[in-house]
Amino acid sequence: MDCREYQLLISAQIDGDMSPAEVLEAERHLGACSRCAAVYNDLKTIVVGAQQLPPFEPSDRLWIRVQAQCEADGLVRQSPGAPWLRMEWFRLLEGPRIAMATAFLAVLIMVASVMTYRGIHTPPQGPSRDSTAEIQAANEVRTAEQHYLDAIDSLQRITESRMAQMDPSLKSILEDNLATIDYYIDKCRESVKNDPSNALAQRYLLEAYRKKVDLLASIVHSDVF
Amino acid sequence: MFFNSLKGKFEVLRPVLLAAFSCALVFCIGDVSPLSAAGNDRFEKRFPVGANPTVIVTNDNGVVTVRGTPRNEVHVVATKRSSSVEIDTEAMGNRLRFDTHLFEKNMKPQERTVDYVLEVPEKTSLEIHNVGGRVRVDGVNGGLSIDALNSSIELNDIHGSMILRSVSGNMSVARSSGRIEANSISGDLQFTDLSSQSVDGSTTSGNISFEGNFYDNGRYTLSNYSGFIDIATPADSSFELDARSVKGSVQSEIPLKSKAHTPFNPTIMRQSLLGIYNDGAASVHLSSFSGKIRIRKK
Repeated sequence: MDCREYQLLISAQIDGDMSPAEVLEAERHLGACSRCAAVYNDLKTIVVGAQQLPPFEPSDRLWIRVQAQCEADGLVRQSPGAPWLRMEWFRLLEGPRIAMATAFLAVLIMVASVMTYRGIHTPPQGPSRDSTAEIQAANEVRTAEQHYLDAIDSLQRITESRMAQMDPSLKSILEDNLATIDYYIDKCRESVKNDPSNALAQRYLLEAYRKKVDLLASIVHSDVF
Repeated sequence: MFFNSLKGKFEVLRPVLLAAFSCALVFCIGDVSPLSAAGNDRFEKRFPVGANPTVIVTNDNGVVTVRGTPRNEVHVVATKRSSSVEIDTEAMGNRLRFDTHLFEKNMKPQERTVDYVLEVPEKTSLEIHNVGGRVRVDGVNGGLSIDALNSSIELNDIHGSMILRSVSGNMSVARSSGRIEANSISGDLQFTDLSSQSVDGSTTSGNISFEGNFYDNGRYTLSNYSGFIDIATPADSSFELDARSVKGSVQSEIPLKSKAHTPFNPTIMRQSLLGIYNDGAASVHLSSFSGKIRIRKK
């Protein structure tokens, strides 16, 4: 197995999705190729790190936004209760238990109406838990980001010498595309910084790093350019 | 007098006859075909193969065209533009390999160019590496992997898995079935009239367009960072949609309903859209960082 063939199988190896014969071939190659072994180790660290991210509990603010969107879409009628009561109502409405949720809705709208009339106030819960979960998620993203940056650093040292010997037109295309990815890494990083709880922005950031790793790895291992 | 007349005519015609003779000599000594005025050199060969052969083409610059045929042979015609390039062939049983080998470094693109035209059995497993130029494959059904740098990729009537990677070339896949994985950095992706039940398309700064039906139990995942994602699907299509954008927008011109089967107005621009069209038989995931996602009727 050469480096190009191994590179096509590296994802399957990390996912444990290889036949016994392929596992043997891959391990033999890793034993003989320090470059592929370094890339494998870095990618494995990233995958394991990502799997250890804690389940993210949505904040109360999220439920408020969900409710506001549902009301805007005409899915539900606006509850006559105070905002803190609508928050409670959504927190009970989890999973696909539509019938139970509908019954809860009816009961809670009634309760909310009564309690609003009586002027009972229940303080909102969980701002401290909310920010702790967000901080933890942000820390985990930073950890995964650091692993990617380490992999990129290793690969860039090798690609610099390869690209110096490359045809200028090919080098220019690769540099342009690396710059494109760097641009989006910066944009995603800015987005995550402005909204640390945005899971989609986090995903795009880590995906951009993965694309950079993939492109650098293909420059290192390509027999064609 | 007759011979004097003939001798006179011969003297006049001698340069012409000499030139014609020289051309004929070159033609006879030359390779399979005569060199053209542009200096092209043509390599042609046929290889008989068994069932399900594997064909690998590695090329620096040029057009690679592959067609599936019902014949049990691989027919290759390679046209090179320079004598500083050779085509290495390797035939090991049912596995054939064609590599473009450059004798010199830093050759100009035109000098490095080799155009390949291959006819292969329909059930061929195909692997193509092409740095610059174009790759076109029609009617091959044994599995396909294409790796390109600045090369466009066009696939038609392919049935079998397709793994496509390009840095800056555009990709288009039409009238094909089988699992599709297409990844590009700055190329556009275009999918038309697919029968595939698994499509995974990703580009960074390119556009994505998908025109056609979504199949029951199929999974379709399309994502980019900027540019647009345009989906045009017929009225009888059935899918569950999950479309999201971080900084861009999502708009649907077709009526969707929520999972609770309550209709809502999907035409307002928003940053996420989750809903069901008809019975929600397929699963469609669209995402863009800052681009525009649009879903419309075909």
